[in-house]
Amino acid sequence: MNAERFQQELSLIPVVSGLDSLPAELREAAAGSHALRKLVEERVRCDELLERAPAICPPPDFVERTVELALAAELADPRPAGRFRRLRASPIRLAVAAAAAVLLIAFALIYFRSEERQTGADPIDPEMLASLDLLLDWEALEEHQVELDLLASNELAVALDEFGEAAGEPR
Amino acid sequence: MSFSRLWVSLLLLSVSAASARGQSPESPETRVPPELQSRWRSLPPEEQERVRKRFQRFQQMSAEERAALRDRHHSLEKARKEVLGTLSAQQIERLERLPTEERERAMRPYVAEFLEQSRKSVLASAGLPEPARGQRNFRDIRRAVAARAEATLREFEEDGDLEPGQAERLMALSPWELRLELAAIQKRHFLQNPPRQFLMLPEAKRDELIQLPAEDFLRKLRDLRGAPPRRPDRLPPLMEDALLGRPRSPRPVPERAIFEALAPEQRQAASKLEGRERTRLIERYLRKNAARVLEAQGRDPAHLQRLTKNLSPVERTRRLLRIIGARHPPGGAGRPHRPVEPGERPRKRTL
Repeated sequence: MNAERFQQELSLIPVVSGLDSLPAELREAAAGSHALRKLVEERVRCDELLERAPAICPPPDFVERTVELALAAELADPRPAGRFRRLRASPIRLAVAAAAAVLLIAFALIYFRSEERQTGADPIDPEMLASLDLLLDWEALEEHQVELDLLASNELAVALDEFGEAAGEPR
Repeated sequence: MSFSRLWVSLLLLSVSAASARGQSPESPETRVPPELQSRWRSLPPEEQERVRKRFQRFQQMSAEERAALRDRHHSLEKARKEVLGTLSAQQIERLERLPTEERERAMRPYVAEFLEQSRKSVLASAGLPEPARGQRNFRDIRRAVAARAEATLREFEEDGDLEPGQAERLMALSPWELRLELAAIQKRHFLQNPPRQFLMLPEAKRDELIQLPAEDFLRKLRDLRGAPPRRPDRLPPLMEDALLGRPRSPRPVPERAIFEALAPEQRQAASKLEGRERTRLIERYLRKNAARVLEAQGRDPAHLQRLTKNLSPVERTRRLLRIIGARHPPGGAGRPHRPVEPGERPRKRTL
């Protein structure tokens, strides 16, 4: 008889006072096994205790409270359940992942750069494009430099004059 | 972070890197408007080469030269707009049908004519003769006007029309930028304390005006006031001084700035008078106040005579105000920070 079955059989007996109070089959098994004998001794001690203090018994809501506490503990645990718990990152795993990320991005960039080069796109200086209108008007700007400076200077002088007039106006 | 989440982030990162390849900050295609890109591509290769060479020259220029070139370009664009304004609807329609390059080529002689006329008009207004052919006159007009503009900005600050330190910031701008900034300041000052007539406009009209760029806003205001347009044959004094190589005429001190340097009873007494009597009384008060300041500093008040000797009336007033240390509190455009007192009638009259 294995220990599990022995324990089940033992739990069905209302009061155990010693090896003699056991059915023959259980007594025989306990006699041949030190571990089973220990289980019987435990049970005897428990029964003696209960006999001495018969008022000891679980409160009526004992089961509900136990279940609630267990659920609360489960919810408070931030760790992912199931197999993900096994995947919690260690510093080494993090370092490996970061290195992999760098490699992946580097490969992606090199690949796309080479693809761009193969398409033969002409690199255009954005600053040059931003000044394209000015660069296309270059000759006119050189040709009419004096006139344009006169015009711009006059407009600035007018702006200063009007600003001064507005500031000096009565309020 | 869990290991699985890390892998998900990695995947997302690589996907975003792939999708952003055409939009990386280095990519010229993202920073430049598409119309400029297509314009560039539409240029023949020899024109593209010319533009590249000009850009190299542009990059080799000093910051001042580049700013001057940009200012000239703004003026050229403005001249083009002016020319378009003189054309008939039919002509404009014909022009608009042309591609950009051809349109500008077609407008070139008209723009040249407009600029030539402007030059002649400016010179005639200053009473200057037409320079001989090939004579490169007025090369330094830009610099001469800029120098005088700096002195004017300092005066604006001194008179409280600009906030302390604002003149210094404005001096760093190119003439074109300075013009726009002055208009923006003027608009801001106007809206901080708008006159009753403006507030009486319908709300929709007011909002429409406020949305306008500063220069257009001020132009519309002048139209609404019914102010006569500026006479094209009369140059602003600063421009005339620069063209004739004269020293800059100092800006007359606004009476508001002078009143700030007077005690309340002095202001009241001055505001009761008119004309020369008022001017003389104000100067007497300014001298008295300046002498008090010198005395408080332990200096001889008689020294005042020497300090104001041989100065023009405007310069003398400015010197006296500097001694008194009259300054407007910041708030811009000389907005008086004290209520106008009873009997005081500030008017547009300067010493």
